[in-house]
Amino acid sequence: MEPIIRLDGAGFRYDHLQERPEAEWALRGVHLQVGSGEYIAVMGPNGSGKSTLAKLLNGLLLPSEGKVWVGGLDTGLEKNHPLIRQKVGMVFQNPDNQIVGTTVKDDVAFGMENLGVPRQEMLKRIDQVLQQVGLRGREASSPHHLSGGQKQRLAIAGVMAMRPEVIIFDEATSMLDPGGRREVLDAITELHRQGTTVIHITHSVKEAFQAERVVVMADGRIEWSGAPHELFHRREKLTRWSLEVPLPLELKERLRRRGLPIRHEITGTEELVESLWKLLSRD
Amino acid sequence: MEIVIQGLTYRYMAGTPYERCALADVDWTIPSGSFVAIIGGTGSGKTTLIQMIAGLMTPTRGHVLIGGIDDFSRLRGRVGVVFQYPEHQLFEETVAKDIAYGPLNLGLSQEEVNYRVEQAMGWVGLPRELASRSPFHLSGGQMRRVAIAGVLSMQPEVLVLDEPTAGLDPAGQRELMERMYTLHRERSMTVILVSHNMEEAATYAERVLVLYQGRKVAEGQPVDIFSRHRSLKEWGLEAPEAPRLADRLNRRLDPPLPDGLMTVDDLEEAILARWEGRPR
Repeated sequence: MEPIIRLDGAGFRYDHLQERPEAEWALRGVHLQVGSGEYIAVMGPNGSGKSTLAKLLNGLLLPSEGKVWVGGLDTGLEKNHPLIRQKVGMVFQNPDNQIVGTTVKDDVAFGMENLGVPRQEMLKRIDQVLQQVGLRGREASSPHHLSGGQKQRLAIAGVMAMRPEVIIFDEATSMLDPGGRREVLDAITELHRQGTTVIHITHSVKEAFQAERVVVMADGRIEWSGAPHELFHRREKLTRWSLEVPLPLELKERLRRRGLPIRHEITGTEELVESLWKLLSRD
Repeated sequence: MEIVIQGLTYRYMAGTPYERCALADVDWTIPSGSFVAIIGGTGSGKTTLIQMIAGLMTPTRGHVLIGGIDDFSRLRGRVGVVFQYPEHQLFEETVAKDIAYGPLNLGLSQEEVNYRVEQAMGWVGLPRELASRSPFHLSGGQMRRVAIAGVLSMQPEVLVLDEPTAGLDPAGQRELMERMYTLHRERSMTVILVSHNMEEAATYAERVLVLYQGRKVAEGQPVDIFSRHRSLKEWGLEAPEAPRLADRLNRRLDPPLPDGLMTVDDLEEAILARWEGRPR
């Protein structure tokens, strides 16, 4: 099957915008395919090209080299942009920058109005998406009275109402408290379950674990791509890519180095607690 | 400068149907030269509290005394606030000019201003050659540092940091916090950290204030606050991962590991001590 997103040697250089001789490639030679309905996480240090990649995927930026295809459409052709932007929705970091309506209902309607969705259909979708993100009953509320997690869920509802095939979350949880973060992650899982393709850009290894595939970026290139559990057996690599090493993994490695007979395969908290309990209780 | 907060209350849109109490009767004393953290979920009143500490909002009731003074016109420059995403407030043509803006407004000599700019760039780890560059051509992490340097160039005695590491990668987060911590120690600068990152609060703060729905619900050392797992959950928070792992282990282990294991170092040592001391 044709992937929903395909990058063929895509690169991007910011010197189009500003004539600087020292302008560097923000992205270089990226080959990536994302299957329809897939859930991928994109990780990497600041400046590794994650956000540039995201902006290439809906034509906000155009590749300086190579090609980007969305649902078979070349993002390099301007006539494709309206359709591409319908296919690819984005949710950004700061919930306060994404709210445009004075009520929850108006806010969800905004994107659909721009698409020219008929009123009856609009009302139906508003009801449906607010139900899906758990904000039904709040239609008349002012978005500014919502919590951070609720605002982000409202932003997600607004994007969902436009029925995109792909939703990109660009560090959409980084400004939220632990409760709000959980709400948004649950909403993402639900979207994926319903068949939406999800691309989740995050600094959190724990959040990346929810995805089916992790892509690690460094210096504008894809460094590594694979199943999350494979990544967690590569402690040295996590450190090299300046990603955080999950606590159970770090603790296990340290204790092993100091002679505790803990199995190498352990990666999760539950398994580690189980193993430590057995070791320390043995008499 | 000691900060004394007494009966601090703030109501938004008082006297209208939209009246909402953002902060209610908060008492707190922050000792001079200490490093403290304010934690709480979204809408708990953290930002309202620091805006009043910075003198940017007038309390509905109660007061904030900084070094015994409650007249903020006399405190300008002595309390520095780094807001969330401070890089959105950069505006000058060059990094050096942006950082110099505050000290120039204090009426300092050009020589003194230049010195302060250089000093502040050093504190945040910005290489000197960036001084003449446009702040808008820097990476997100560097822009954040320029904005923080702009506040530090005022040489504040109290530094308020509102989510200073949000959006930085893990390595960038650690470096920024280490630099702020060093500055706190070397200059006895009081630091008030507002953070969603419980690891940061547990690692750097001497005292932690917990706000929930505008009220102070707990205050104490990180060790005490972060061992209250059930209460934290109720407040929409959670302990850092190390004490949570210790808690799960201790629910099964008899006798349990000692209390107060806050970091992976603590856990490593406690588990090793138990392992080596086990009966053979």
